[in-house]
Amino acid sequence: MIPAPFAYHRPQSLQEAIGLLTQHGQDARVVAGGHSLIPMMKLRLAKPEHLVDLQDLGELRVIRSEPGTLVIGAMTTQHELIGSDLLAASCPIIRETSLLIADPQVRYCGTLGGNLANGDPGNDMPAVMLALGAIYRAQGPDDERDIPASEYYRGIYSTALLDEEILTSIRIPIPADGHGWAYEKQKRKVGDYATAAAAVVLTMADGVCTSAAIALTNLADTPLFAQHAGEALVGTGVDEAAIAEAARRAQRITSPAADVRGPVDFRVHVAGVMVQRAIVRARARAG
Amino acid sequence: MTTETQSTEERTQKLEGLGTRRKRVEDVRFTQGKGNYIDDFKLSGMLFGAFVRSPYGHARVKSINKEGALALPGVRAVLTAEDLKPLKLHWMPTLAGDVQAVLADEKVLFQGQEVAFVVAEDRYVAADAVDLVEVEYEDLPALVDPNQSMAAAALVLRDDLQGKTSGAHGPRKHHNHIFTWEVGDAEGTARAISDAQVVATERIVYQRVHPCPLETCGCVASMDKVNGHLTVWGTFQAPHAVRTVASLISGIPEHKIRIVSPDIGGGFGNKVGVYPGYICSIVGSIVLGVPVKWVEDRMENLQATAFARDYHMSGEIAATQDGRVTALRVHVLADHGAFDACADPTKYPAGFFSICTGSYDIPVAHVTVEGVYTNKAPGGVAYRCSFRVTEASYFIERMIDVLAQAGHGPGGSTAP
Amino acid sequence: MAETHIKLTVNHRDVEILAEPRLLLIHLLREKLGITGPHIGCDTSHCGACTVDMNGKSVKSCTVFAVQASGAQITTIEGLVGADGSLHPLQEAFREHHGLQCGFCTPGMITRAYRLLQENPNPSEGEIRQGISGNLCRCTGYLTIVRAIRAAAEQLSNAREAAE
Repeated sequence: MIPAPFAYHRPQSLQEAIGLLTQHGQDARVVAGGHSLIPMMKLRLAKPEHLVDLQDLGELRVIRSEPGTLVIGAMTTQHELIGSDLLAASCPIIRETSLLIADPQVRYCGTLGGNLANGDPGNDMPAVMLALGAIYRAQGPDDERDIPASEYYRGIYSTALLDEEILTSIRIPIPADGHGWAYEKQKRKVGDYATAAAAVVLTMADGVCTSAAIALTNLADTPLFAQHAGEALVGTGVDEAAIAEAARRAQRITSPAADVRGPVDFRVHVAGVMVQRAIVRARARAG
Repeated sequence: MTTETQSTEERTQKLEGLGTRRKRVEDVRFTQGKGNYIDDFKLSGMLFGAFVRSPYGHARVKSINKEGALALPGVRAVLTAEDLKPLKLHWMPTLAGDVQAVLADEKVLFQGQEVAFVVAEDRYVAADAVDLVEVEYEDLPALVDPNQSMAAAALVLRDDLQGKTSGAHGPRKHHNHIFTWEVGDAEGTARAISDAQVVATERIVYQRVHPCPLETCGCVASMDKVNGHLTVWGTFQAPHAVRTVASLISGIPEHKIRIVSPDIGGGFGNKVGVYPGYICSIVGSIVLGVPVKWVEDRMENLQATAFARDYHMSGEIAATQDGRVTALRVHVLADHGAFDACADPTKYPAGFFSICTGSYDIPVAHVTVEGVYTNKAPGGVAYRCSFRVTEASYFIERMIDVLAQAGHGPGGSTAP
Repeated sequence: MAETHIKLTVNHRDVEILAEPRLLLIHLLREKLGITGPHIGCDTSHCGACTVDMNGKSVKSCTVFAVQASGAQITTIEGLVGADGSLHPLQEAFREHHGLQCGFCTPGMITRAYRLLQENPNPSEGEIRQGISGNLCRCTGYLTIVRAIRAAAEQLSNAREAAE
């Protein structure tokens, strides 16, 4: 319940923050909303000697659009994502997913960057970013680089981000007008992590599916992009048979852990159900 | 709150007699955050206690090194069983007639069991000191399946009970056996079952659960050494029992002990028993001469305080072809964990389980409850005041359902 | 580690204090400032008994370091009482509609309900239930809590209309 001692830093600029990470290396951790890191610190499972608080970096808290791209600052909170008219109009899957994360208090503090950056397989936003084809922008001491979400997740808590880098923004290709979307999440109770969850983003033209992206949450060490499952929908009318085939293909790439949320075969079963329901809802929403 | 005086007529009118709706008096302070729960108490000079707990379910304690913890500024004491032994405080009586280790005496018997008690100037220092106490364990295999507790080759759990062939509730037939309680007509029931036209059987496991009140257990103990008075405030559903146990183990006469139950954040039975935290706080206060507060965190509450249920029930229900019940027999295996700290305030070790014939007209019945030890947290309790009535109610309703599903229901031959 | 200087406003009073960086906000409130309304009910940021209103947001004060709250405006359950001692409509409604039994979840519950009604002055039953999903109660089963919040919403709405 009581964390181990640490030194606290509250940088006033991104450069200052990166400087602190460079100076202290593995002994330093950034804190964004704090609702993943601080519970770990209270259990003494995480004992950073230096905590770098990003809350004063206003430039990381933004939601805007550039031609063809939505740009969301990494420190934008779930609450801000939910309240954004821009996102509601142009990329509504984000709001739907945010509302399924934790509870109102956690959503006031928890950030998009925090949900994406640390490689926790239970987090919901990574699969959504895979389905959207998002790109993460990271700032290091010497340069800035873009990392596609599809290349970011390596293993449990293992990502492409270097120790001295900070995730600054997430860049999302604006989904086509009239796209279909859904995030379907099975959980034991409100606020829980997913037993299984699926993100679906698709487009239809004249009753035929022209693109489909399916991604899965908490069914492996990393979020999963179900490429082959999406292909089962393209060129079809997204009928029952196509949906069933997509769900089967998605199930085949999962390797969930048996845990308090259920044994392996149960979680694989639920994965299939989540994919099916998400496709049905996405299809119904497609204009 | 009004300070106007009202006339008798006004008051009589306002009272309105039977059925008048009244607001609770305590809600005034609770809705303003002005309750007095145990962790709200601050006394001058008060210290804070915290436990070192066993990560193992069953192990020998080879050594405990307190030096690192004692060297931490702000730490005032680190108590172990060795410190409590000369005062004979390292074991305490339970409400069920067993004994429970206050601090592990050479052996730990469940994961989360109390091994050492750190007393420090604040809870942050206490938490750091807990991490600095070095305990060397020799890990032993753990017995967690009560169905294996009385196997011939079952591990010995309670070294302290070796050679004791009887306990508080009668003879003991095995080193992990606590009691056997029988009620009803064994022979008559056996006859009725063997003669029956229909017999349905079912095995029902009512799993271990935890009452989990939102406020965890805790206390503040304050020994006034000058006047010989002990005052203990705490999360006590049964303050009189706490006073008796405190007097028994400390030697202070009951009339010099004051037990206070202030506002409590739920109990549900979890706060009936006497926990090592209470005893260690009392000892800490006696030794150090200042008040000592102990408040557990949620994981400690779930791991180490009294659970509820954990009844493994095998039922047989006999009936005529047209659904008239003729007999009921049940055997219960009761898993009490490492110490029988059952807090059913009745003289029966299985509470009121004997109501398990329910509201049905059953001419003959027989109940056997066998309590056994395992490497789990001690208990159980009457969760929501149940005294095993919940287990009994579930049992009988389930047995009637099983009988009905076998094609024979009370009052008819077809299931509804 | 060395203590840090923290300045913040709690229930309209300015506070200055020295504290270790690892001091949790809940402990700053309860241990250093004697504000014992918010409670600790869990170790894992689930129960919400510690909920405070910080800079216009419902926040679980057990999951924030006091240093992070430096510069913040914080209201706890105690701060919802009027300067003249009158109870907030939520506090009255919880009393009226039996929205509590042991009272341990109540400070966090009411503090969260306060912000919920700012976000959504006329919530449906479903919206109330979702809105308090970060606050656990072990006594009531939530029905009377939802009723109390609904009643307070109506009360506040009537008061707003009367003022217009």
